[in-house]
Amino acid sequence: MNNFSYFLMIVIMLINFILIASNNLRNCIKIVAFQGALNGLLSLFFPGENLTLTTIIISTITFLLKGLFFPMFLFYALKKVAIGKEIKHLIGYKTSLLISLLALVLSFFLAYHLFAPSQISFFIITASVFTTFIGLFIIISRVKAIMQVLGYLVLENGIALFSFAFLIHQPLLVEIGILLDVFVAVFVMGITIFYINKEFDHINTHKLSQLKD
Amino acid sequence: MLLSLVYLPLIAGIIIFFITNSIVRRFLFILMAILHFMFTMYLTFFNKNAMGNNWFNLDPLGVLFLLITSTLFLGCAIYGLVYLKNEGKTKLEWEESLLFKNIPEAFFLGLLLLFLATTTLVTISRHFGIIWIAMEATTLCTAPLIYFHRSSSSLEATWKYLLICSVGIALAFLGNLFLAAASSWGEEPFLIDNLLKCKNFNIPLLKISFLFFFVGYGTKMGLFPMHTWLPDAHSEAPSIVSALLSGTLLNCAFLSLLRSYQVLSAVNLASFAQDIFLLFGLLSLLFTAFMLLNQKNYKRMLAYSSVENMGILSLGMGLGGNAIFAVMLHTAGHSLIKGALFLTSGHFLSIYKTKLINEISGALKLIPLSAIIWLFGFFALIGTPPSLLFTSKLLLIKEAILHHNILTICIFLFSLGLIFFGMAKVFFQMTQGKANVVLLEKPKKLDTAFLTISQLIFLFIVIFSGMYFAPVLENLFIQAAKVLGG
Repeated sequence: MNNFSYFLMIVIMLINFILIASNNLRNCIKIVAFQGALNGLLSLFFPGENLTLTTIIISTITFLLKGLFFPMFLFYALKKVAIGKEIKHLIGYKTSLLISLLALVLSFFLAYHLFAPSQISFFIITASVFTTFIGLFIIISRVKAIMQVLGYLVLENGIALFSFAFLIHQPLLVEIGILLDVFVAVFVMGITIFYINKEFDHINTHKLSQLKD
Repeated sequence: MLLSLVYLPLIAGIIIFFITNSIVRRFLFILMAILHFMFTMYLTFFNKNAMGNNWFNLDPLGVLFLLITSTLFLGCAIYGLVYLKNEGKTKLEWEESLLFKNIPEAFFLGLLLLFLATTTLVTISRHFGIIWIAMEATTLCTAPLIYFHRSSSSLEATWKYLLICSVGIALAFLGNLFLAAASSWGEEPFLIDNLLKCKNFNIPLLKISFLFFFVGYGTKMGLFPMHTWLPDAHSEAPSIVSALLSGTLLNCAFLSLLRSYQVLSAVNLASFAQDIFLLFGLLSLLFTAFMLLNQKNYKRMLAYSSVENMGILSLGMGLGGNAIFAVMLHTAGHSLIKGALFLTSGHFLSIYKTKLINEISGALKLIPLSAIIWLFGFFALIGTPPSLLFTSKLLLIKEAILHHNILTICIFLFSLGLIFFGMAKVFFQMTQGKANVVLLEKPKKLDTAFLTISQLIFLFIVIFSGMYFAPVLENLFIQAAKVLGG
């Protein structure tokens, strides 16, 4: 654990706030891509002591997938469905920021209870829980379907951070399988967004309410 | 060799995407279903010491779930042959009377085979990472299948399913990580066999990991309050897919949850998990009992009934002891009956062109065989004596009485009573009375046979084994329950 990885983690946490405060869809995609790319980098810098081939492969794939492919695909989707750039909220900016601040405090509190603050895992757990929470929050509080895909990606980033915390190295096969799943998930979600746009002329998910009891 | 159960449908599924001739395609599809079934039977009954390694192996629990999956898939495949032929003919979306186009058949069959491959992978893997990958893959294979009819409502259901389940499964991944963090085991912290041997767990982390598993896989399993995607997806999907979702997918999610329960009970934490199982089981039961009272859509009703039965499974795990054997019985019985009922509901839909209960009557006169299956299926599902589900529910109540758990018994029986009341009304209304639709052409005998044979076999198995339980089968269930400490 060196200073650089601390720095990366702080940036990852701060990115969450930018994401919550942003009102432009294109910016949001860029921000999430940046976070994903940092995530890939972090897995390279974190182990420090032993840089195995597996780590390098995984971090390269993560970097390319989250930093390059996903934003490109989402920009393509955005162009294709031709929707406005602004983000619609169910919960306003001020409240959202306040809630994310509370979430940060809560994450510290939770990590404090699980681990002694001197342990290296303490800090990463905080970052991970906080990022996961922000992902969930975006999914429920933002209206447009693309924002929900972004929320899912942020959630994924948070969970990926967690596996660094414990230096959990899964075999290469499993890691690649996980990344493949995330890749296909985003892909299928993107395609579904095309269809939603074609069928309803909007991608506002709160208007999807035909099915209910 | 064990892995060929996964490879075969996987490869065939990919090949099918590229086959243009529909007869060759269907032949390959049905061939795969039969091969898979035969191989599963061989592994179950003739090759007890299944070969495998640390990563992939068949324990008795896996065998049972694999057998259910394979049987149900074969039945659905047989039904699917005629179903797809008829689907090709109708060009009208009956709900919206708009021109619609189904997703191409090659795509449909291919994804079904991929689904078979992934569910098989869940049952045979002994590695939490692989289980997670396979569970997420089942979501991704089935999401396009739900959008088969290309209607706006099925699109809505697909989106909800995709998002809710993906997020749920992502949380289950946190469970995986907490589990690995809890075991200070070193080398391979995801292998079930390693975890079962591990003694020095970090207990709080292990408990957190179970909670994440419960939320994650519980979402996929459809337990209240994480069930919200389930009624939508089941009611909008084509009937074969609904049957497979209800009969195999929910089971697989349950199995994944049981795997983590296994780890917990190995270090005497079973009672912690049982309390959670019990609470959410009862909540699911009670909730669906009220939801079933005034249903307008019969496929939705069946979907809620699935939530109810998942609640019963969870309740049984909560009681522990002998109830675990009952849970195994209930899993098998529910899968087969629900499969039969969903397949029959597909026949109803194609004849009456509506999912609304009020617009259907006189099925006994119009399509007698399907209507009889519909009625018998109802009685078997509700737990009328010769049915296997009667045995399982009785055993559950007996176990609850032994525990002096009065509150559980009261809620359980009260919910079952309400559910009987709510569902009986629907089933009788749909079958009795005067037929309100005229058949345009007389159905071919061969078609009718294909459309009903699997349901008849499923029903026969459930009702017959309620009366006489073959020792081979009994042994299978006992062994499976023993894995979980039952």
